[in-house]
Amino acid sequence: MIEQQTDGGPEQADACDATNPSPTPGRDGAPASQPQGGPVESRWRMLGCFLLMLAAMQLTIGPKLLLSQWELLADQDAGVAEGEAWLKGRLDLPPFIGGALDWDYPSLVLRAGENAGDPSHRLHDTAFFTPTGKIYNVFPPLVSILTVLLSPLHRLLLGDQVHMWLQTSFLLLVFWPLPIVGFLVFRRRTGDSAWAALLTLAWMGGTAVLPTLAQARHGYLGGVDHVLSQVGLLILAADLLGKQRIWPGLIGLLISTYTRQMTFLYGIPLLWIALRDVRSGGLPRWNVRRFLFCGAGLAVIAAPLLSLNYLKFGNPLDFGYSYIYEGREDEPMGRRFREHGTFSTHFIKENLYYMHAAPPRIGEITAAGVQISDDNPHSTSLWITTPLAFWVLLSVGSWWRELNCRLLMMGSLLVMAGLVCYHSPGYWAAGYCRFALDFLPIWLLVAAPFTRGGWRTWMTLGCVAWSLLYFQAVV
Amino acid sequence: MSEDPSVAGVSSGSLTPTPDLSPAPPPAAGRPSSKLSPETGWRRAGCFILLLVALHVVVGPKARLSEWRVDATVNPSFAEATAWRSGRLDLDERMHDTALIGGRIYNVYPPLFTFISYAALAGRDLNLWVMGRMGIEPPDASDAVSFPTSWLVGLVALPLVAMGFWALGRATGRSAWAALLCFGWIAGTPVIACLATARGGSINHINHLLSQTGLMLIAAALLGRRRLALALVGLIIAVWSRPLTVAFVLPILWAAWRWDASLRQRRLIAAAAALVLAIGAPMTLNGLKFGSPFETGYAYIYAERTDELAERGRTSLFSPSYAKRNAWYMNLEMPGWEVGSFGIRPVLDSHGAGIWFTTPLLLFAIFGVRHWWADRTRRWLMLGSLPVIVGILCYHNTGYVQPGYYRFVLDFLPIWLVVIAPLTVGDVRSRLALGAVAWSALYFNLIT
Repeated sequence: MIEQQTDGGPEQADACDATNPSPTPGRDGAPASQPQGGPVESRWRMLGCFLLMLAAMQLTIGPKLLLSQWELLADQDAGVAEGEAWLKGRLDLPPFIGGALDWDYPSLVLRAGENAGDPSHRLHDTAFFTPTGKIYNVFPPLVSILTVLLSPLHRLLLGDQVHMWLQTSFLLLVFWPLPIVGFLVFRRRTGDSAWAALLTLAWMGGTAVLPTLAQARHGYLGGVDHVLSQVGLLILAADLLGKQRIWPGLIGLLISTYTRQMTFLYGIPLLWIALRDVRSGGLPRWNVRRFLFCGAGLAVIAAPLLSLNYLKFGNPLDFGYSYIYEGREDEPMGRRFREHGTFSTHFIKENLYYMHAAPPRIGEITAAGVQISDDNPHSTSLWITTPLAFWVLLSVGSWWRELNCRLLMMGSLLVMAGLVCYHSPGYWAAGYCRFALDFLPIWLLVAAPFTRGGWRTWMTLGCVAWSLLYFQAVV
Repeated sequence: MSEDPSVAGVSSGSLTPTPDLSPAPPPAAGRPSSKLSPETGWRRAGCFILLLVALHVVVGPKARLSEWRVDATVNPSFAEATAWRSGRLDLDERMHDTALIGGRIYNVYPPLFTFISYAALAGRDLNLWVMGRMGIEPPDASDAVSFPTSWLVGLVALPLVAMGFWALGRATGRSAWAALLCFGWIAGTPVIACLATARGGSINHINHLLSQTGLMLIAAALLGRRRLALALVGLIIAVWSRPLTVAFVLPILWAAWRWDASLRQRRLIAAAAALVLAIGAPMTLNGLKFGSPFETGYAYIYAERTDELAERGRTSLFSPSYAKRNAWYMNLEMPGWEVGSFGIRPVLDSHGAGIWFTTPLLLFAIFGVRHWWADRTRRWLMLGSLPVIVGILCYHNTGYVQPGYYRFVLDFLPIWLVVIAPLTVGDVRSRLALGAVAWSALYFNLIT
């Protein structure tokens, strides 16, 4: 059997399976998150576990994902449409006429001669900027940027077409990073490929990742952005809990921010960790150089977003969300926005309820199983749908001793604070909480080393089984 | 940290069947090592529940238990039960694979499902009588000719899981590994195809499923705590659903002879009585229906049929001349593969596909021959499967229709699986077994 070189305390021995290396939840300043001096797994074992994980994914969530049917088109995705508009030298989007984007447009008003703000004349959740009468994408720009970057390839392979992505590039850039990055990051954190495979499966099949993947299949920008942000958050967290080289963290933050802006708040713990260098293993020391580098990186991430805002809406701090309800004021979210604004403390109570306490609505019950009803599209408690998240609470005594874990978790609270003030609780999210994806990967990674050993293993397996079952009923 | 090599492969604190990296000798052939620390009931229960979850997620969408339905228009055994209740042996109408002799139509399938159907219908009558006595409105009369779905699932599908988990747990001594192998057995063999097809009431596939329970019972009883009575019950279940499995009486008789000299006579009498019951009931029915206890009626199912299978069946039901073709489909036929925008999908032959390709876990039976041969009970169980295989190879039908799988393998597969189960544990073998289970589950998921 493998000999384990443990230099942690009794708690560590309890927390980690005897056959596996473990993290060292040490005192402040210790770079505690990667396996320390434990046995090194063979690459064959890692590869085997990865392949088994893929097989398990195909068996459990494959029928929900239907990878062969993924498509990303400008007519369904404002990000692709914006990328195409950029390639045509414009910032605004064309109107949506007769089920397709009408690129032969100077202005919707001139062509149609009817209410320019009619939401049926533009892609869902795009902004109608009344001062100019133009339509804009308000989602973060990663998909638009990728559309532009991939356009030479798509032109070559699709016969001068840029309004759609090649299915292969869609899957390679949006789907496949999830199992690969997830497995590698969880493996680095837990030191055990088999456990990493299980946690990755749980993350993809037993959280809101699964329904958002199912949405991404149709090219819905909200789903695609959620999926892409997961990879960014994992890269960010893996760097901060691992080697703390900062630049990978910045790349992760860029990916997550360019898909889910709220996650830019993780820049604060990133900045602090850059400043308080704990890589030496001793007491934290000030590292101004890293701090400045990180600050510059954050500026580089923020600048294009603010520039786009300025170019579209005349104000770098106007993200354009206030214009997406033009003509939709009577819709549920439009009404909330009209009454209280995009962000308001008024929403906190309700959003907290949906995020943490709302029970699932049971639909049809048959001998084959239970279906979750879509009666409640405002989100369902993440604790009920993904009880694996309880490990963050149960292991708080362990991860609290790690400075970087503490900071990341506090960063996640900031993100959560922003989310609960938002005018939408996650609409549309029947049976799950998609906004939880803005912090759930961080939580899972922080708690991952403490999820096994004795009763913990059983509890984790039970939680994973529950979540897999639950999300089978949702999707 | 456990240093016991016999528990290599499953860490003590973990359910995950992660293969240990240390070399481990094979467990003592015959039964799990006595060095294995006993598992708690909670652990066994936990593993069983996790197995159910895995099966629900993976096999559930294929089996769709809530849609299972058997009625007298598609299932000759159920139709036979309804005929018995009318005081007749012959059926009202001709359906696929029923015998036509002297203008009368008969069921030719073994009698277990007919017995079960008869009991279910009697139970339904009793229920209606009780409801009537209590003044409760009886259910819709249109359901009168269908088998109660809950009975069907409860008697045909669910015992598989429980029996498989129990038998494989006995064989390996480890619940987690037993759960994995049981999952592989149900999701990675023609069992899943039978579960999917039995939904529509196919008697062939229902019989296959019933026989699995019986065969698992035989294997568990002989390799576990030596409970001959259970083995005899298993034999009756197996023979009343798949007649060729009568060959497994050989290891049972051997066990009755060898286990305990003081109980030898009683055990032999019990085994003989069970054998008489197992073959006597079908033979009696044969005599009543076709005039001879040795006339199974299979020859008459091809009356008025002109297809190739019917021609072969009329020529001879069993013949060595069929062996070459059958052996090909059983062992060597490989599916083709088609790649397109849909991904990858197999091109399947409806006469079957090689068992070694579809369920490579069975290769342990070949590469581990030295181990199981060294144990007498295992040896006899494996030898008992030889007549079954010979019978299958000489049968006039390959098993058609069976696109991408070979359903007749189910007549001995549970026995093989329990015999080789201990050989799948330890170092490289655990990894090979995991890979084989993953392959088979993926393959059968693709074709079902």
